[in-house]
Amino acid sequence: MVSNGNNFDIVQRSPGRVDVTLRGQWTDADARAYEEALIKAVTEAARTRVLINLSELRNCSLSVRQVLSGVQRKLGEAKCRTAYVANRPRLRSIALWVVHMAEDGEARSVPTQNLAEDWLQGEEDRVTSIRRSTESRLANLRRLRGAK
Amino acid sequence: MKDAPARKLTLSQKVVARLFDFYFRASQGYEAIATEEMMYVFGLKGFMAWGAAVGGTVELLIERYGEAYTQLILGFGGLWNGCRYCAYGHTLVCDLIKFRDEDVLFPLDPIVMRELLDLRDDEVAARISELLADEEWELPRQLLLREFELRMDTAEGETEDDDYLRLALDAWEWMNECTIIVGVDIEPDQVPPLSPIAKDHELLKRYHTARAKERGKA
Repeated sequence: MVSNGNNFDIVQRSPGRVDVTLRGQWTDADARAYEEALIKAVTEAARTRVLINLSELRNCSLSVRQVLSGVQRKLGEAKCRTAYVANRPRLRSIALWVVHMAEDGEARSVPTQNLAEDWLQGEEDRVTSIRRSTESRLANLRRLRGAK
Repeated sequence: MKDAPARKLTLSQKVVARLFDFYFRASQGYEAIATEEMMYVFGLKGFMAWGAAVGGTVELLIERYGEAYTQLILGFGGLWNGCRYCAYGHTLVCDLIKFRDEDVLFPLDPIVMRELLDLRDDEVAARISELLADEEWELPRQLLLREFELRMDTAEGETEDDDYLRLALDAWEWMNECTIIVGVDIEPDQVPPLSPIAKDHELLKRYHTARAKERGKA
């Protein structure tokens, strides 16, 4: 386990699985320390599934967000699959911005631990998954309406 | 546009994006956001597919719930993803329709949505119940709480609304994939009503005056 005071914990739960908790108010220095520690943790395994819990994060500036996005880009390059779980819309906003700007299709922002685990077990790209689900629901509803 | 990254598009992507923006401005009465970002992320065919799916979703929802509550459902679709732009803009459309057609100020507006965005999800649900407690708001209260349960994956049983609400949630997750570049930081007064009602400047003026008066009393 790697810990940086009150700001983050990085725990190697099993081979290929890393759980991260971010908390409190972050400075740019916290973000850089996090970057170094997380990249070190995931490059030691072949394909890592990373769960990042933001629920205890209080706030995060644009510059911290940019560092988080840079970290996410590196996780994507290292073939990691990532779920960000956050229990506030505002924090999911940050997570969605981070994964979007990182252009990492294997990362997703979700509201619950269960949805995070489901995402980590899958293999599909985020946009493909959302598109498939939307188009399938739309087609089903249209079929149901046509049948009435 | 704050935070919007510069994207390298093909010539055909650029041309379609410009045409789309021009058509959108003329038909909807406000500027499209994130068109180039969508073109970059989804590709030209993906952009067309996205437009068709979103259009089809809105059409089905309006048929079932009418325009005001459709916009409310979409606003909350945005809120659960953290997209302030959609949370504020669609809720504002609901407010304007209620004000225009029923002469009422709906209890949820962009300022309330800004407060909700910072709360925990369970607190948001509790606040919805509280703000829409009056009998006249039973339908929107039930719809929003069900949408919440579906988004959190805690819904039990099946209701006739579930297919529609799940569709709205998925379609707006697709939408917010790109609108988040603007929606992460924007403030309520920077977001127009996200429907052609944006063209009715007189209505907007009357609505804002009535809201300001209501806030003055509170």
